[in-house]
Amino acid sequence: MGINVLSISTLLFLLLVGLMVVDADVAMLKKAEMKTLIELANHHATFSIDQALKTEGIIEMVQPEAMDRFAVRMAENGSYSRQGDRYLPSSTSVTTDPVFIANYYVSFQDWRKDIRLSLRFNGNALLIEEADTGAEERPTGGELQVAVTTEKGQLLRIAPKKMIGPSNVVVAYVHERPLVPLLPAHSFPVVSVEELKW
Amino acid sequence: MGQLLATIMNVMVLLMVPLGVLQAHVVLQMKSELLEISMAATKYVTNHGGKNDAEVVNQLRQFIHQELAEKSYRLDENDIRIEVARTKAADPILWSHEDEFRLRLSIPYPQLTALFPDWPQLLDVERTGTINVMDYDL
Repeated sequence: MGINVLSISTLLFLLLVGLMVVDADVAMLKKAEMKTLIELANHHATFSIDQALKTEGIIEMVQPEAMDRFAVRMAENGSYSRQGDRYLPSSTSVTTDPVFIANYYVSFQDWRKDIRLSLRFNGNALLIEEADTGAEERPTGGELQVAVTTEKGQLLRIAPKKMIGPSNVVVAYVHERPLVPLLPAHSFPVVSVEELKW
Repeated sequence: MGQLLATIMNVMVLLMVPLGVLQAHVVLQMKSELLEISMAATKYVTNHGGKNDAEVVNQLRQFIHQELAEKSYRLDENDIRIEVARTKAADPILWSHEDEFRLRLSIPYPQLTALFPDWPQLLDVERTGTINVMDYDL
């Protein structure tokens, strides 16, 4: 009797520890992979340049087309399908819940200025609340600061990024239920800044 | 006798749990290393392009060799199979601006036990990238 109780409790304890280890592995993998996915997709998106304006010497991104290209690459590399600004995972995707995507275009006039982006995740969508463009110009390119307010009102700041040209900024918010209710949920934003390719 | 048998079985079940956890941990770690290195490799091809197919493959092999040497990965270079092919090409030979390619890295599935023969044989990652190098820069 005694040995059974002991071994069952040891078993449960080992399982719990194991689950926590695996859960931490999965969380790290998810974050890194989501960053990779939006970086690759955004890279592909920024090839979308207005060819008519380019012949006149003006570099301008075509936004809807760029985000279509973004969606194509998200499907190819991560098996996500687009539905508005939500990206729905398939069974082979790295996340199990939809990923929310918002984009902000920094044009030729603005990329040398500092930009502050504030976003809010309200449970159904990731919205850009405020985009603050500074007045001062830096010759080497402005700094981009992104902050996301979560559903619970927590403010998450992302390390500032440097712009090296007119860019497309993509913010993805991953909001996943935990593996088992005992463990914490995986919610985090990731950001990609890619300059236009011309 | 029954008590002894029960104890032996208890111990065996107890040993299975850490083994399973370790297996899951190793697979996840290998997978994330593979994801990481395939990302770096995709970026490399994206930023370098190449004069022909053979050059791209050689440079890529060289790059992965370097990456593995510099960072403390568990991956073994000899295990990694590299496949890379273009899916969209403006020029039949040069790998340059806005060409698209598909890169696939695979390793044998890291199995700690031979108990489950019908597990997948390979762990692989596939990535599609777009090249950002002008042909006059090659």
